[in-house]
Amino acid sequence: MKCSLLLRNFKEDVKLFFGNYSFKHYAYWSKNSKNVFKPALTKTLITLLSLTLGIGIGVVVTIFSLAWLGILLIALFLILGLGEAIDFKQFAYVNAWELGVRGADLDEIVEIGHERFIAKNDARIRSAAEKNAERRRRSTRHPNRIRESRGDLVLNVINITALIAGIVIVCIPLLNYFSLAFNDGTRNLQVVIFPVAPTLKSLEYVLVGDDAYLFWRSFGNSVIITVIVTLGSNLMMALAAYPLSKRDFPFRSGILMFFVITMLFSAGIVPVYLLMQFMHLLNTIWSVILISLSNVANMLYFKTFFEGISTDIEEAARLDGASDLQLFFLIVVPMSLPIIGTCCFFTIVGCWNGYGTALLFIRSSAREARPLAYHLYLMLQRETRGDSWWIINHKNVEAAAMLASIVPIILIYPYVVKYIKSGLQLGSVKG
Amino acid sequence: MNGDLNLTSESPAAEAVGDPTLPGTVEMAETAPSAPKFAYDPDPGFWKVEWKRIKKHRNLIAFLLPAVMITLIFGYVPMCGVIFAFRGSDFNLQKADLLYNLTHASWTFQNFIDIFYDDSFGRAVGNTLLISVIRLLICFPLSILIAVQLSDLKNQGLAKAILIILSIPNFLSWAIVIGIWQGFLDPTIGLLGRYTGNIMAENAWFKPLVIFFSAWKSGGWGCILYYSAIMAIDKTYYESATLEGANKLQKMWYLTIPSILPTIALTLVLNISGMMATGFELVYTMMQVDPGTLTEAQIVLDTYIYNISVVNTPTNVPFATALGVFNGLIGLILMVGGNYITSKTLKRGLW
Repeated sequence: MKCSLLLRNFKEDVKLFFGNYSFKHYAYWSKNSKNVFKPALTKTLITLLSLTLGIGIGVVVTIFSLAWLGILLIALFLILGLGEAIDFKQFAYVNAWELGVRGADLDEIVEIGHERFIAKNDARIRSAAEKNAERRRRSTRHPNRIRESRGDLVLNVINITALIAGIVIVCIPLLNYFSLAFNDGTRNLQVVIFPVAPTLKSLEYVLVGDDAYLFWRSFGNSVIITVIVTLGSNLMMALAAYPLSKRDFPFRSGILMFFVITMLFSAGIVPVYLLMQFMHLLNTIWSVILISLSNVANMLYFKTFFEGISTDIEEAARLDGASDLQLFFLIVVPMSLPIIGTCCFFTIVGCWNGYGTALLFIRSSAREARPLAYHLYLMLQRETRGDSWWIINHKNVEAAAMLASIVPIILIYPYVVKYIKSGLQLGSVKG
Repeated sequence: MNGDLNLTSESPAAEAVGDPTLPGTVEMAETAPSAPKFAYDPDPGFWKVEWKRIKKHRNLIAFLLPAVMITLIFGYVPMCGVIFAFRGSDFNLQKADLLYNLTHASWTFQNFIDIFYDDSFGRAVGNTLLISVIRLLICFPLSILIAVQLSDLKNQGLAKAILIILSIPNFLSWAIVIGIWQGFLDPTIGLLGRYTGNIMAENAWFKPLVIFFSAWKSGGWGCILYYSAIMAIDKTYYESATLEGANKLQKMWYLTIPSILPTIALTLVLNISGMMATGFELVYTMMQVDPGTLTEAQIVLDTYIYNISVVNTPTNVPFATALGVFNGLIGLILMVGGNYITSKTLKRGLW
């Protein structure tokens, strides 16, 4: 039961992420089946599948490459699979929900188990289920419903075909490439979307191998750049946007123009390069950080959002004796978290993925000052080396490095997705 | 201004009305300013108002300082570098120190004239514009089309899942995108490349591939905007259209597209203002994957300017600066023009 507790927590996260998708899925299954035990059956199947698959992968990993990773995988899948198997309470909930049982009955089912509950309240449940079924039948086959014309059906087919084609075009190259990361270089030809000769050699080479120092060094550089730019730039721009959002701020439009001009016109890259040379910042990460700090577009988004905040709250806080700094950090910032979260996420993605400015200021020979994307970009150039393993596996190593580099973005995404959802609807300007 | 209550104690009302005991020799023009004087000053003067505002917001001025400093140093100081563009070829940073150069080099306008005689620059502009226009014609309707198709699905949860899948590539670095397609188009191991050969190293395929990669990376992300705009349309319109007997195509064309027209126009203008950039990271990475073979990639504005400015910086600073300034001016014109059009037609600009 401890496992299931752990799993319950996990499931709540999943529900938050996918909008209660798993529950809908089970409700759908049970809606279309008269067999009460069908959900339970699918759950058992999932459990068995995850157990066999997980332990299989774990054993293969243990045998072929890294013992500790294999054991970790086995443990993980054991916890997940057993947790799934033990979690009988979930079955009870699902079945009861399907039969239209709510409230106190639901708790009773959980207490005594659904089979005993059904035996106890058989007639009641049956009538409720029949009523439900009747309602469903009526709603789907309404005599006056408007049928879809033939043209609409053709359009539907075209639509779905086009969307499937889009998904295939996006997913096949992605899966093909990232499955190379787990594949042995000698059998790359057979790979379509799954690794055919699973090995973790390439990943191992990237993370702990000979060149791992450079990878982690550039990883660290990217982390430093991303953290400083995200915090510094957004804080600075939000601070500047706050006074500019006041209608009666002195010389408001003039100061705004002062910022906007830098967005409109730049004298090209030579003067910036010379400035960095003059400041002795070439071939250091500080050149990239300092040039990315000013982000006028974000400031304009902040400004537009701050203008929409009601001034009544601010005045009330001011009457209570809040200073401007307190007002900003305790009232304005918490109220504009959607836009700040969105802008922060885009800054993070931009910093992590961008290497255009790094290409300008950092030479490829400055090995310890390169951001991660720059490092990946250099990996793309086909190097010739004597090592035969490298010649066979260089594409796999490259794929493994790329895969390792996107992990932080994936980890951040769930935390900001709620802000992005609301933030995106704010201005259609953000694109 | 509504808070400015200036009690004018030194100007009593009697003075303003004028002395009625005086004989009628006084002209009407002089007695005319008997306009009612208010208890507060109606026109306190520009500086007085501004000073009051400054005093009111004195704390907030400090909020602006960091952003202003950064913008000054990294925005305006490089802008002063425009003067390099007006220097003769004897201006050379490597030869002597900066100060000597600035005081002794000759002034000329020749660099800007040279730009028009530079064949490669003309070809670069042509290539860039060709790529941008075709990309606009393909990618722009594509995003709208995907959004309309997605909104047409019955299961909107599925539509959102598809949207997330399609927008994954947008969060990948260009290096990863090129890596993925390099693997896919690899002549030996690539799924597609084993049939087509190494088309990434062929000059003829450069422009189509640039357009395709851009569409692949940002097509799905672009349609999120339109999708949320379509979702905001009132559903009752669709119901009444259905009752009137409109089929799906008619509903799309006469209902969906007109409803999201403001969004479409805004993004169109934004895209047009970014016309002169092909995406430096994309083109430069494609160029470097097979160094030397993809000569077509060198004649795109982004890489051309980069090659002249950074790869061989010491040789000709004034000409490189002039190129950058010229490019910046074109960008300025496109941006201001685009903003003018949006603020005229949609009543909302970028600033």
